[in-house]
Amino acid sequence: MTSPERWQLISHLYHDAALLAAADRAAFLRNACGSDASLRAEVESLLVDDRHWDHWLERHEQELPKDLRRDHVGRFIGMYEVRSLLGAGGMGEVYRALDPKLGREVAIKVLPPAFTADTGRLARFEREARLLAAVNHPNIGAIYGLEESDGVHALVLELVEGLTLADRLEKGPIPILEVLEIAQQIASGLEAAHERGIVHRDLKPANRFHAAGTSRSSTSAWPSTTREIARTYRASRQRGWLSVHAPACCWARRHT
Amino acid sequence: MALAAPSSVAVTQLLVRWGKGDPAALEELTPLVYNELRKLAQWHMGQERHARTLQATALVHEAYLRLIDVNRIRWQDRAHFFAMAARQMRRVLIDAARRRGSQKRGGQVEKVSLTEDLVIPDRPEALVALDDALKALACLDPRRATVVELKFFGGLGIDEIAHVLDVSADTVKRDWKLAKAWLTRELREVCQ
Repeated sequence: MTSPERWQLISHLYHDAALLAAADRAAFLRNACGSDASLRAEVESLLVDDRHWDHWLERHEQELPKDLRRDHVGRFIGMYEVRSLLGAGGMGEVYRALDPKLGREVAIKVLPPAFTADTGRLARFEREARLLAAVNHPNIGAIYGLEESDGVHALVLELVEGLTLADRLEKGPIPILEVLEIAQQIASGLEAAHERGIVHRDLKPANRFHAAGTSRSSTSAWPSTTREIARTYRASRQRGWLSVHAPACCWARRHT
Repeated sequence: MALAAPSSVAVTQLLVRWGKGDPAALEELTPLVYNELRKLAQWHMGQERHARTLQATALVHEAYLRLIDVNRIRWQDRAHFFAMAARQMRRVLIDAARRRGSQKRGGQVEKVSLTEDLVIPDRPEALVALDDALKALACLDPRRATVVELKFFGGLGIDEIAHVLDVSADTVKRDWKLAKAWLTRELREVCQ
């Protein structure tokens, strides 16, 4: 075990040697370490330029998103005052925000930069948002608007409070009558969407809210026309959500 | 949203109490943060395939936003939260990496379950090696090991680390450089 004093010495020699050009290090260490060959070997082993592992240790910091999430909280997106982060996933982050004009809270889904950088994808998304906005149904969360502010693209949605079905299921079995009612509400919401050619790409317990006795699907997870279902289904298989997604292929057959 | 966080008011109060020197507050805070990080990691894994490469540091930031009322704390408290969260993130990742390592040795089929083991870190064998190397470094040089923990697992910047450790930013830079040199040597020996 290296003693603290020896570690101090190693550390000083390392820093001094690291400041020198590689070609000058050998002479410096020969001089500084004298006859202590193990000291010299130790410092030399630290001076090896190991790009691979150095990169691995550094990379985590480089890939950290530049505090995008922190940037939104406490700021405005359009007129909306962002209050807190509700959740985040591959399709963006969802915040709780205040609509100061109407004095009500809303959910704001900020699209990820990779998404908004692709103009085709963005145009498709906006088209789908318009389609969805036309669906007015008590079991579907409402879309209030699309916002673009300082390069940030966001969808303003009804804020649905309460537990999701996934949360409920975790707490234990749900009485059969309630199950039937929930199923009826989901089916009713889906039907209203299907009538307009819109398919829920990601229907699963965690994406379905249960608020004040009424079930509604979160629109934040909705955005697909039938065209896209095949791709989504492929993705869902890789995710291990097959059991939840199986109906998606039935819809795909029905609509395509 | 799908994931409910503990009340941010309560967690923020714990953080402020800890910042004022109350060790009992830290004891209450730590498991809350650990559980939140685990839950977030699992949730991301459930959401997206590419979350397999989710960044520990991003999770720590997200946990911070979910748990702490950012308008009610001083930036010093924020730094301390990140320091503690970095340690908990290290636990979450290393636990997952070790589990994954033992599964591989046991020859089990790789699978993604919905409730357990959802954090699948990038290069689990390297993370385990890093954890071992950090423990050895901590015996030799606790401050430099802490710098690595804060930077690698917590995503803290140099200035934030300097504040947490109450040293200069230059010292942190030198510490990080030497710690990296030491750790790359250990990783090279173990992982290749």
